[in-house]
Amino acid sequence: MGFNKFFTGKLELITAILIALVSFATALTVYLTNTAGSTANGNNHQGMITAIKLEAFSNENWRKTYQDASSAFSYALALENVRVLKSSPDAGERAQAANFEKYLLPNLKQMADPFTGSQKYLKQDGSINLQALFTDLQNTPEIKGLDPQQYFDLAEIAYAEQRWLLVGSILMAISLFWLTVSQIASNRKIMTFFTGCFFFLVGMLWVIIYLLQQGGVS
Amino acid sequence: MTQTSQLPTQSDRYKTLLLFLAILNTVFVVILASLQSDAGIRATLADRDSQYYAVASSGELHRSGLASNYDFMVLAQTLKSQQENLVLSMTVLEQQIQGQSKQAEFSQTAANSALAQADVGRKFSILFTDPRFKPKDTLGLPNLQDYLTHINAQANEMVKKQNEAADAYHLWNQKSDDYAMILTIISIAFLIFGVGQAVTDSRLRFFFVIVGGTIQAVCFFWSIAVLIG
Repeated sequence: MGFNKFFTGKLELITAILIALVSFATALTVYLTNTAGSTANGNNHQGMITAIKLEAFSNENWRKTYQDASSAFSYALALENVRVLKSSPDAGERAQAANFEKYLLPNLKQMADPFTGSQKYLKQDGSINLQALFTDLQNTPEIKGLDPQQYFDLAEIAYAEQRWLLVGSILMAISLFWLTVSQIASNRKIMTFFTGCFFFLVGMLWVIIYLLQQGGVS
Repeated sequence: MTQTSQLPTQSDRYKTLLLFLAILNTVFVVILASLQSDAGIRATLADRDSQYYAVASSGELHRSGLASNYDFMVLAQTLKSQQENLVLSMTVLEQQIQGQSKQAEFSQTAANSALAQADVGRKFSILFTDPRFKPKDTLGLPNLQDYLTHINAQANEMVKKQNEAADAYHLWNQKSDDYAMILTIISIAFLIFGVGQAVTDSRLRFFFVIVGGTIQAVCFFWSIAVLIG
């Protein structure tokens, strides 16, 4: 009875202190929510930029691969022509073959490099392995470092955190509402006070769970 | 005297009910706001995926364009060489019949060269080496329909995924907008309950209970429809 009288007498003061405390907690929670959202959007943005860069590199490397393949095909055609001319019974055609071999084929071979410079890019039947060249062109440190999925994964984690914190923010805001009602209402003060306290405690617990998972505020 | 002091006075009727509805409203708002936030985030993710697949399909179309350009170039060269070989072989026969043996030798060399180049083309082209596309006989044409289907398959798959992501974005974006609309309307219920608490006439207070409760019920069923829609 004495406690009730004390409590009822000091309710307005206690409510005022709680309103200040809840306001601070709400501001902090909203800040954490916005930070999580901002981190998520930043990671999404970075992931998209990385994806576009990767696609640009792939496009260029495929273009180069098919360009070299066309040159390799031209070289192979010229090579066969020279081979046939060399076995011709006509001296004139054999002379043509000799000149083609001396002056034309080296240039065509150089243009067809790396298909003509390395066995790695040739198949057993003598045709060219385009996929092998493309894979090697993609295998540079600059391209290997481009992984959009890692940013997308980080974004999804941050969005999950944002979802969690937003619920905490809303619980804090609801608590602030009920405490304010308790402060200004003429009756039902205790009921609205405890309603506000309940939402505040749930909101605090919500945010503390998040902070424990993070290992403290970063 | 004790009994009458325990009964609610006429001016206090429906205040507890209003308070209960207001508390219910706050719980409803928490759930709705969470759903709205979740829908907004899903819309953002679907939008991102849609853009990612658009970029990927653009890249894949570029690659398939390069591949088909190369393959058709080789095919055209191979068919040209085959035709040249055929024509030159006919020329050799004609020249031999006419007794033009020297010219026939030149034509034979050219025919051999065309044949060798056609063999190179068959080795270099997927249209002649892949069992899915290669001709059924030596003089036949490759299966170009299956080749075109194959070369565009990955791009089509990317476009399909992009369309699915775009549809998901529209769905979740609409849900997010609907939840935001419901939240706006439910805030009116807060106002109604607050005004109901302030009035002194219990009949007027009951009126506000009915109006606020109706708004709450409508918003509740609307939320369910959006949730399962």
